[in-house]
Amino acid sequence: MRTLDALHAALGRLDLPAVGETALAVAAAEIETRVRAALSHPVGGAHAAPWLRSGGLLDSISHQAVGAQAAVGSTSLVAVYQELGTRTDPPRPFLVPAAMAESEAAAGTVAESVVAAITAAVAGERA
Amino acid sequence: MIDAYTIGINLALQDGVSTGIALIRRELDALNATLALSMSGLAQFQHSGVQALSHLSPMALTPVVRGKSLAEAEPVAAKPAGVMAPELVAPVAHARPAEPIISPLIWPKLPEIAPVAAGAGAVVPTPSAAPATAAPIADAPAALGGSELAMLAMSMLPATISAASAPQVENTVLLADTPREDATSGASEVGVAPPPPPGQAIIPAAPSAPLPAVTAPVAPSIAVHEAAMEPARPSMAPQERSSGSTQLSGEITLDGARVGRWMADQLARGAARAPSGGSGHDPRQGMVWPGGRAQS
Repeated sequence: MRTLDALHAALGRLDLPAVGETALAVAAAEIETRVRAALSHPVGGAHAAPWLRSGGLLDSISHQAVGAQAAVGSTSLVAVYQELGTRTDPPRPFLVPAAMAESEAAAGTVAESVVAAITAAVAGERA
Repeated sequence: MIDAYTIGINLALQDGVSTGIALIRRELDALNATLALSMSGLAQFQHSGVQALSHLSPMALTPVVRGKSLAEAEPVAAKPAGVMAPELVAPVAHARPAEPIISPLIWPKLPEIAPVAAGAGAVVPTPSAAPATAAPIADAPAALGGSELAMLAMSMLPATISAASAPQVENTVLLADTPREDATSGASEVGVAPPPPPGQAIIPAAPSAPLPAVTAPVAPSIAVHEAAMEPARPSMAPQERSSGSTQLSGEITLDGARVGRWMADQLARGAARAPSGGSGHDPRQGMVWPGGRAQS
């Protein structure tokens, strides 16, 4: 009964929104790394992704995490042109393929963070 | 947030874990309340039990020693030989303790037979024994001789004998009456008569050989004695007690299966046979020959 009380108290002190925000930030950072890797193809290589010429597009990539939401994107218009294509240039997507490839890993990161937080809370009460 | 970018990917976390944890906390609250209630009830029950036990005397808590009845039953072996042979009593006393566990259903007429064992020592009933009327019944195996009990049990074996009391009776019969091989050889060799009416005095038959001090299995010996109670039959084919065939409302069933179809086949075969009697060519349908005469 004492253990049940301790478990009840530990679950009450658990701040899951903060844990989720941190986990989302980590997942967004992983996706950003993947996006940056997609923008690192040298000129003359495979042209399914944008070539790395000046590095302006690569530097415009960033991520943010607030509450239960996070975003990975670019502040440059070139990113829109490369992702969606123009009238003269075909689309060379780099955001969606990177996000799709990293989605399961991002979800796993969030889940592991939540489980680690709950386990630590319960273990701390036991100790 | 996505508005800060010209293009980007939005990640949203659907937090179902917090809802689940809140539910778990509510369940823990309910469990805690239930546990607290149960523990308080248990403590109250324990307190009541301690109070009840404190009112009991030490004598009531003393365990009953059943071996005492057996020790007091030892003088039975020294009874006069006119009542029972001593060599029959000793194996019974050593083979199985005289436990006073005999159903009152088997001993309804015991007070009429009790004077047979008047010389035996009385057994003190236990404080936790049943009613006063059942006390001498329960002490009977210790007071009476084994053979007397055997014949008494044989005579009082009703059709409604309970299964729980059968082992007690059967063991006594096997040990005190005859050896097992004699009992299985048939009623004519054993010499066991059909059960007399209840209340009639019974004198056991003297055995032809001393008894082994063994305890035989109970379940098979019941069938042996039931067969021994029947009159002897000449050697012939065993009579079927129930053939299993009955005839109900015109239908014949054999071993639970209808054979009415067989009868229908028989009837169909009979109907399909050629009719007996005159048949064949009808002369009236034939040609009238010259000079012939039409038959009427």
